[in-house]
Amino acid sequence: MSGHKESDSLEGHFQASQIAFLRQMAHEMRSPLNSVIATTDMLLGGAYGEILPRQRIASERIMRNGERLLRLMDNAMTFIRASANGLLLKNTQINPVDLLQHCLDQQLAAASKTTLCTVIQRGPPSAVWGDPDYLGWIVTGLLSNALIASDQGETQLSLQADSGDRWIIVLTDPGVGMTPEEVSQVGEPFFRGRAFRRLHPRGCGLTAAAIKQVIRMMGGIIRWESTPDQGTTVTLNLPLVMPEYPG
Amino acid sequence: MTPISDWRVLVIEDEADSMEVVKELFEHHQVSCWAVGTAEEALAMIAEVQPNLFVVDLALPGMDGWGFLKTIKDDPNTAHIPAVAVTAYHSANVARQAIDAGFRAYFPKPLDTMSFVRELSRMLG
Repeated sequence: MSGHKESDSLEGHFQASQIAFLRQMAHEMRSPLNSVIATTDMLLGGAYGEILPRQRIASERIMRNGERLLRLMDNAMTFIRASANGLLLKNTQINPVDLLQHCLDQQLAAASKTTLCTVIQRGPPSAVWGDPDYLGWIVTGLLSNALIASDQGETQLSLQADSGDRWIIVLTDPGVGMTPEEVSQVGEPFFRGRAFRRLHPRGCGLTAAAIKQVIRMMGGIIRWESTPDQGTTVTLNLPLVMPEYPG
Repeated sequence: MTPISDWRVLVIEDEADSMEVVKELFEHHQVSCWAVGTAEEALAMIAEVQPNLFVVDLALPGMDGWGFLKTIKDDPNTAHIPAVAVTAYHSANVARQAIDAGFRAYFPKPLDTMSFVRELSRMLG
């Protein structure tokens, strides 16, 4: 028994030192990224005078890739922290309909195509308790993937109360879908479906992995169901009240 | 409301490039701005500059941003001047601690230049 405890303690220490290392790495990356992104942002905003069209294109490329590095780093940190139950989650009252509609509006505004999305409510709970920022980040990440996966057709976002003390968000897209083997791997770090990768070569497969860990910390479950060329349904099953000390 | 042309901002940032970015951003908006690399230098400059806003990097050599905030809040001459935190050690936990400590706003690096100035305008208004 004591051997097990010692092993657990060593593992915990190793995990804590890894998190501290990554936290420092994130800081060391954020400082130069601050200069890259903020300077490029000002350049594009005209702070240094007018820029030529080709200079604008080059500046936009710098910006896009700076933001990509930032997203990668943020997703990696969220994944590591949530995997170790070390993510600090708020526990405040949320109107789920408003939150989902806000995420949808933001994604539609940012999307370059006009894939139709709707929020369908089937007896949704009027209030839930959880972290609105991370819940919004989860829904936005899943919606973004759904819009990338679907060239046309209707992406639907629905929410409903589940039995007793839980609620459900269901996101259905008519996109490229995944094979059964791919579905079994989705949510693992760096996994990306083959058809999705063709549509979005720039991603690295950490968003879904981070989302899966955050939902687990929230006391929730995420499930993917998919058929190649027919689309994907993602179901989030969450407690109405997020646990304070998730297992 | 303090018009943007009347802002007097004292920036405390030890990383040279990040300091330049913030200075250039304020200069672009015609804001009077002074920048130093340590909290101790900032404290020594307050009487001369008469700032109406501090932009404070939390991780500084010597006295850190938290220590600087406590020092200005403990001094009746400076307790009323708003201070905002900027940090590359970004997490929800740090954001909450910064607001609880008395920073009026918290901005993670990289700075979103548009929302940074907009938020400061709202705050000084």
